[in-house]
Amino acid sequence: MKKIVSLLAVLFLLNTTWAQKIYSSKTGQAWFDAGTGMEDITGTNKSVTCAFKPSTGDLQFLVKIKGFEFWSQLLQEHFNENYMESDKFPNSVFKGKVTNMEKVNVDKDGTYPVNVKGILEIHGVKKDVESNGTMKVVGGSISASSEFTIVLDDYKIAIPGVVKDKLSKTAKIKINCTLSIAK
Amino acid sequence: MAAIAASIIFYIATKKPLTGSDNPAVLILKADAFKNELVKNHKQFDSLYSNKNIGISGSIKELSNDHVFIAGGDDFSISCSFDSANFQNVTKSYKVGDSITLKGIYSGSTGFDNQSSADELDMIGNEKSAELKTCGLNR
Repeated sequence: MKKIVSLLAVLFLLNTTWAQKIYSSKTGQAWFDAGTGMEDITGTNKSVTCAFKPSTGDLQFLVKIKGFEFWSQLLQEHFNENYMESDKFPNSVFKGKVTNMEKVNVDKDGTYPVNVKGILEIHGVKKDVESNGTMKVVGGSISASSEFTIVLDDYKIAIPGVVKDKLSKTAKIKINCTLSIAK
Repeated sequence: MAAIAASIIFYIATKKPLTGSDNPAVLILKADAFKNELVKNHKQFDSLYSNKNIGISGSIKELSNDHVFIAGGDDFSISCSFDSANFQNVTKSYKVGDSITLKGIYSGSTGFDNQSSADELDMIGNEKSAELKTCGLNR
Protein backbone atom coordinates (compact mmCIF):
# COMPACT_ATOMS: atom_id res chain seq x y z
CA MET A 1 0.00 0.00 0.00
CA LYS A 2 2.82 2.35 1.00
CA LYS A 3 4.54 1.67 -2.33
CA ILE A 4 1.38 2.53 -4.28
CA VAL A 5 0.97 5.78 -2.35
CA SER A 6 4.64 6.66 -2.93
CA LEU A 7 4.33 5.86 -6.63
CA LEU A 8 1.20 8.00 -6.92
CA ALA A 9 2.97 10.85 -5.09
CA VAL A 10 5.94 10.64 -7.49
CA LEU A 11 3.63 10.56 -10.52
CA PHE A 12 1.72 13.55 -9.15
CA LEU A 13 4.94 15.50 -8.61
CA LEU A 14 6.23 14.63 -12.09
CA ASN A 15 2.94 15.70 -13.65
CA THR A 16 2.92 18.95 -11.66
CA THR A 17 6.50 19.69 -12.69
CA TRP A 18 5.69 19.04 -16.35
CA ALA A 19 2.54 21.14 -16.18
CA GLN A 20 4.47 24.06 -14.73
CA LYS A 21 7.39 23.85 -17.15
CA ILE A 22 7.89 27.33 -18.53
CA TYR A 23 10.40 28.27 -21.21
CA SER A 24 11.61 31.85 -21.11
CA SER A 25 14.17 34.30 -22.45
CA LYS A 26 15.18 37.89 -21.81
CA THR A 27 17.33 38.18 -24.90
CA GLY A 28 14.72 37.87 -27.62
CA GLN A 29 14.82 40.16 -30.63
CA ALA A 30 12.13 42.37 -32.14
CA TRP A 31 12.62 44.16 -35.44
CA PHE A 32 10.31 46.43 -37.35
CA ASP A 33 10.28 48.17 -40.70
CA ALA A 34 7.85 51.04 -41.23
CA GLY A 35 9.57 52.64 -44.20
CA THR A 36 8.20 53.19 -47.70
CA GLY A 37 11.60 52.76 -49.34
CA MET A 38 12.45 56.49 -49.30
CA GLU A 39 14.26 56.23 -45.95
CA ASP A 40 15.46 53.48 -43.63
CA ILE A 41 12.82 53.40 -40.87
CA THR A 42 13.82 50.25 -39.06
CA GLY A 43 14.53 49.54 -35.41
CA THR A 44 15.85 46.56 -33.45
CA ASN A 45 15.31 45.59 -29.84
CA LYS A 46 17.64 42.90 -28.47
CA SER A 47 16.14 42.52 -24.99
CA VAL A 48 12.65 41.13 -25.53
CA THR A 49 11.26 39.09 -22.63
CA CYS A 50 9.44 35.97 -23.84
CA ALA A 51 7.68 33.13 -22.05
CA PHE A 52 6.07 29.93 -23.30
CA LYS A 53 4.20 27.20 -21.41
CA PRO A 54 3.92 24.06 -23.55
CA SER A 55 1.28 22.40 -21.36
CA THR A 56 -1.23 25.17 -22.14
CA GLY A 57 0.28 26.75 -25.26
CA ASP A 58 0.44 30.12 -23.50
CA LEU A 59 2.87 32.50 -25.18
CA GLN A 60 3.77 35.98 -23.99
CA PHE A 61 6.30 38.63 -24.81
CA LEU A 62 7.15 42.09 -23.58
CA VAL A 63 9.10 44.70 -25.54
CA LYS A 64 10.42 47.90 -23.99
CA ILE A 65 9.79 50.65 -26.52
CA LYS A 66 12.85 52.64 -25.41
CA GLY A 67 14.96 49.54 -25.97
CA PHE A 68 14.76 49.90 -29.76
CA GLU A 69 18.01 50.86 -31.46
CA PHE A 70 18.10 53.01 -34.61
CA TRP A 71 20.70 54.18 -37.09
CA SER A 72 19.81 57.84 -36.51
CA GLN A 73 19.29 59.88 -33.36
CA LEU A 74 16.57 61.95 -35.03
CA LEU A 75 14.64 58.82 -35.97
CA GLN A 76 15.01 57.47 -32.43
CA GLU A 77 13.67 60.73 -30.98
CA HIS A 78 10.72 60.87 -33.36
CA PHE A 79 9.92 57.20 -32.72
CA ASN A 80 9.88 57.63 -28.92
CA GLU A 81 8.42 61.11 -28.61
CA ASN A 82 6.06 61.55 -31.56
CA TYR A 83 4.91 58.14 -32.72
CA MET A 84 5.11 55.71 -29.78
CA GLU A 85 4.97 58.21 -26.87
CA SER A 86 7.21 55.85 -24.95
CA ASP A 87 7.09 57.86 -21.69
CA LYS A 88 3.33 57.27 -21.60
CA PHE A 89 3.34 53.76 -23.10
CA PRO A 90 6.71 52.23 -22.17
CA ASN A 91 5.95 48.61 -23.12
CA SER A 92 4.37 46.60 -25.86
CA VAL A 93 2.93 43.30 -24.65
CA PHE A 94 1.59 40.21 -26.39
CA LYS A 95 -0.42 37.61 -24.46
CA GLY A 96 -1.81 34.69 -26.39
CA LYS A 97 -1.70 31.01 -27.19
CA VAL A 98 -0.28 28.60 -29.72
CA THR A 99 -3.50 27.17 -31.07
CA ASN A 100 -2.07 24.01 -32.66
CA MET A 101 -0.07 22.66 -29.72
CA GLU A 102 -1.07 19.13 -30.69
CA LYS A 103 1.42 19.46 -33.57
CA VAL A 104 4.32 20.65 -31.38
CA ASN A 105 6.53 18.29 -29.39
CA VAL A 106 8.95 20.28 -27.26
CA ASP A 107 10.68 17.07 -26.20
CA LYS A 108 11.64 16.14 -29.75
CA ASP A 109 14.06 18.13 -31.93
CA GLY A 110 12.40 19.48 -35.03
CA THR A 111 10.83 22.50 -36.69
CA TYR A 112 7.14 22.94 -36.02
CA PRO A 113 4.87 25.44 -37.81
CA VAL A 114 2.64 27.16 -35.26
CA ASN A 115 -0.46 29.29 -35.29
CA VAL A 116 -0.60 31.99 -32.64
CA LYS A 117 -3.62 33.94 -31.50
CA GLY A 118 -3.86 36.58 -28.80
CA ILE A 119 -3.94 40.21 -27.82
CA LEU A 120 -1.19 42.59 -28.84
CA GLU A 121 -0.89 45.87 -26.96
CA ILE A 122 1.01 48.67 -28.64
CA HIS A 123 0.79 52.38 -27.81
CA GLY A 124 -1.80 51.58 -25.12
CA VAL A 125 -4.19 49.97 -27.63
CA LYS A 126 -5.08 46.28 -27.38
CA LYS A 127 -6.02 44.41 -30.56
CA ASP A 128 -6.74 40.77 -31.34
CA VAL A 129 -4.05 39.37 -33.60
CA GLU A 130 -3.41 36.08 -35.30
CA SER A 131 -0.19 35.01 -36.94
CA ASN A 132 1.84 32.05 -38.14
CA GLY A 133 5.33 31.26 -36.98
CA THR A 134 7.75 28.45 -36.32
CA MET A 135 9.13 26.77 -33.24
CA LYS A 136 12.46 25.05 -33.72
CA VAL A 137 13.32 22.65 -30.92
CA VAL A 138 17.02 21.87 -30.55
CA GLY A 139 18.49 20.11 -27.54
CA GLY A 140 15.86 21.34 -25.09
CA SER A 141 15.73 24.95 -26.22
CA ILE A 142 13.07 26.43 -28.47
CA SER A 143 13.70 29.07 -31.10
CA ALA A 144 10.34 30.74 -31.70
CA SER A 145 9.88 33.20 -34.53
CA SER A 146 7.04 35.01 -36.20
CA GLU A 147 6.61 37.76 -38.76
CA PHE A 148 3.46 39.83 -39.11
CA THR A 149 2.22 43.22 -40.23
CA ILE A 150 0.25 45.76 -38.23
CA VAL A 151 -1.68 48.81 -39.38
CA LEU A 152 -0.34 51.84 -37.48
CA ASP A 153 -3.74 53.52 -37.41
CA ASP A 154 -5.21 50.48 -35.58
CA TYR A 155 -2.91 51.34 -32.68
CA LYS A 156 -3.58 55.07 -32.88
CA ILE A 157 -0.04 55.80 -34.07
CA ALA A 158 -0.38 59.07 -35.93
CA ILE A 159 1.70 59.83 -39.00
CA PRO A 160 2.48 63.56 -39.31
CA GLY A 161 1.86 65.01 -42.76
CA VAL A 162 5.52 66.00 -43.31
CA VAL A 163 6.69 62.39 -43.16
CA LYS A 164 3.72 60.66 -44.76
CA ASP A 165 5.72 59.82 -47.88
CA LYS A 166 8.53 58.27 -45.86
CA LEU A 167 6.52 56.43 -43.23
CA SER A 168 4.37 53.50 -44.26
CA LYS A 169 0.83 53.08 -42.98
CA THR A 170 1.84 49.59 -41.87
CA ALA A 171 4.81 48.15 -40.02
CA LYS A 172 6.34 44.76 -40.65
CA ILE A 173 7.37 43.16 -37.35
CA LYS A 174 9.63 40.17 -36.68
CA ILE A 175 9.98 38.51 -33.29
CA ASN A 176 12.59 35.89 -32.51
CA CYS A 177 13.17 34.32 -29.09
CA THR A 178 15.39 31.43 -28.11
CA LEU A 179 13.70 30.05 -25.02
CA SER A 180 14.98 27.60 -22.46
CA ILE A 181 13.45 26.20 -19.29
CA ALA A 182 13.29 28.93 -16.68
CA LYS A 183 15.84 28.39 -13.89
CA MET B 1 23.81 80.13 -47.13
CA ALA B 2 21.79 77.29 -48.69
CA ALA B 3 24.87 75.05 -48.43
CA ILE B 4 25.24 75.79 -44.71
CA ALA B 5 21.55 75.08 -44.09
CA ALA B 6 21.80 71.85 -46.10
CA SER B 7 24.88 70.81 -44.10
CA ILE B 8 23.07 71.43 -40.79
CA ILE B 9 20.02 69.47 -41.95
CA PHE B 10 22.26 66.65 -43.18
CA TYR B 11 24.14 66.62 -39.84
CA ILE B 12 20.93 66.47 -37.79
CA ALA B 13 19.33 63.83 -40.02
CA THR B 14 22.34 61.52 -40.02
CA LYS B 15 23.62 62.06 -36.46
CA LYS B 16 24.12 58.69 -34.78
CA PRO B 17 22.24 57.97 -31.54
CA LEU B 18 23.99 58.14 -28.19
CA THR B 19 25.59 54.82 -27.31
CA GLY B 20 26.53 53.61 -23.86
CA SER B 21 29.85 52.16 -24.96
CA ASP B 22 31.24 55.36 -26.55
CA ASN B 23 30.13 57.98 -24.05
CA PRO B 24 30.76 58.75 -20.37
CA ALA B 25 28.11 57.69 -17.84
CA VAL B 26 26.15 60.54 -16.24
CA LEU B 27 25.56 58.46 -13.10
CA ILE B 28 27.20 55.36 -11.64
CA LEU B 29 25.34 53.21 -9.11
CA LYS B 30 25.87 49.90 -7.37
CA ALA B 31 23.26 47.32 -8.39
CA ASP B 32 21.56 47.26 -4.96
CA ALA B 33 21.47 51.07 -4.78
CA PHE B 34 19.97 51.09 -8.27
CA LYS B 35 17.24 48.72 -7.11
CA ASN B 36 16.58 50.92 -4.06
CA GLU B 37 16.13 53.95 -6.30
CA LEU B 38 13.61 52.05 -8.44
CA VAL B 39 11.74 50.74 -5.39
CA LYS B 40 11.60 54.28 -3.97
CA ASN B 41 10.14 55.84 -7.12
CA HIS B 42 10.72 54.04 -10.40
CA LYS B 43 8.60 56.49 -12.39
CA GLN B 44 10.73 59.41 -11.26
CA PHE B 45 13.96 57.51 -11.93
CA ASP B 46 12.73 56.44 -15.37
CA SER B 47 11.73 59.97 -16.32
CA LEU B 48 15.08 61.38 -15.14
CA TYR B 49 17.38 58.79 -16.66
CA SER B 50 15.58 57.14 -19.62
CA ASN B 51 17.76 57.34 -22.71
CA LYS B 52 20.68 58.55 -20.55
CA ASN B 53 23.96 56.73 -20.21
CA ILE B 54 24.21 55.23 -16.73
CA GLY B 55 26.84 53.02 -15.14
CA ILE B 56 26.07 50.02 -12.93
CA SER B 57 28.49 48.02 -10.83
CA GLY B 58 27.76 44.60 -9.42
CA SER B 59 28.36 40.92 -9.79
CA ILE B 60 27.78 39.08 -13.08
CA LYS B 61 24.80 36.73 -12.84
CA GLU B 62 24.78 35.51 -16.42
CA LEU B 63 26.64 36.02 -19.70
CA SER B 64 24.62 35.01 -22.74
CA ASN B 65 23.55 36.01 -26.21
CA ASP B 66 25.36 39.41 -26.27
CA HIS B 67 23.92 40.24 -22.83
CA VAL B 68 25.44 40.64 -19.39
CA PHE B 69 23.03 40.22 -16.47
CA ILE B 70 24.06 41.87 -13.23
CA ALA B 71 22.60 40.51 -10.00
CA GLY B 72 20.78 42.97 -7.78
CA GLY B 73 19.32 40.72 -5.11
CA ASP B 74 17.03 37.69 -5.22
CA ASP B 75 14.32 39.14 -7.41
CA PHE B 76 16.11 41.83 -9.42
CA SER B 77 18.55 41.76 -12.31
CA ILE B 78 19.92 44.32 -14.72
CA SER B 79 20.16 43.33 -18.37
CA CYS B 80 22.82 45.02 -20.52
CA SER B 81 22.79 44.36 -24.26
CA PHE B 82 26.02 44.72 -26.23
CA ASP B 83 27.08 44.65 -29.84
CA SER B 84 29.03 41.48 -30.59
CA ALA B 85 32.51 43.12 -30.50
CA ASN B 86 31.94 44.76 -27.12
CA PHE B 87 30.43 41.56 -25.73
CA GLN B 88 33.55 39.63 -26.77
CA ASN B 89 35.67 42.13 -24.83
CA VAL B 90 33.62 41.33 -21.74
CA THR B 91 33.76 37.54 -22.12
CA LYS B 92 37.55 37.69 -22.65
CA SER B 93 38.11 39.20 -19.22
CA TYR B 94 35.07 38.33 -17.09
CA LYS B 95 33.12 35.29 -15.96
CA VAL B 96 29.94 34.70 -13.95
CA GLY B 97 30.41 35.87 -10.35
CA ASP B 98 33.04 38.52 -11.18
CA SER B 99 32.49 42.14 -10.20
CA ILE B 100 32.04 44.47 -13.13
CA THR B 101 31.09 48.08 -13.91
CA LEU B 102 29.13 48.59 -17.10
CA LYS B 103 27.53 51.59 -18.72
CA GLY B 104 24.64 51.71 -21.14
CA ILE B 105 21.62 53.67 -22.28
CA TYR B 106 18.82 53.12 -19.78
CA SER B 107 15.62 51.79 -21.41
CA GLY B 108 13.49 51.43 -18.28
CA SER B 109 12.42 49.05 -15.56
CA THR B 110 9.82 46.28 -15.21
CA GLY B 111 8.01 44.82 -12.21
CA PHE B 112 8.08 47.85 -9.90
CA ASP B 113 4.52 48.93 -10.61
CA ASN B 114 2.13 46.78 -8.57
CA GLN B 115 -0.97 48.13 -10.26
CA SER B 116 0.05 47.68 -13.86
CA SER B 117 -0.99 44.41 -15.44
CA ALA B 118 0.45 45.21 -18.85
CA ASP B 119 3.79 45.84 -17.19
CA GLU B 120 4.25 42.21 -16.29
CA LEU B 121 4.10 38.84 -17.94
CA ASP B 122 2.09 36.70 -15.54
CA MET B 123 3.92 33.53 -16.59
CA ILE B 124 7.21 34.95 -15.38
CA GLY B 125 5.80 36.51 -12.24
CA ASN B 126 6.70 39.70 -10.54
CA GLU B 127 10.39 39.59 -11.32
CA LYS B 128 11.96 43.01 -11.23
CA SER B 129 14.37 44.03 -13.94
CA ALA B 130 16.00 47.00 -15.62
CA GLU B 131 17.48 47.28 -19.07
CA LEU B 132 20.47 49.07 -20.55
CA LYS B 133 21.29 49.01 -24.28
CA THR B 134 24.42 49.62 -26.42
CA CYS B 135 26.48 48.78 -23.34
CA GLY B 136 30.22 48.87 -22.83
CA LEU B 137 32.70 48.39 -20.04
CA ASN B 138 33.17 51.39 -17.78
CA ARG B 139 36.96 51.50 -17.57
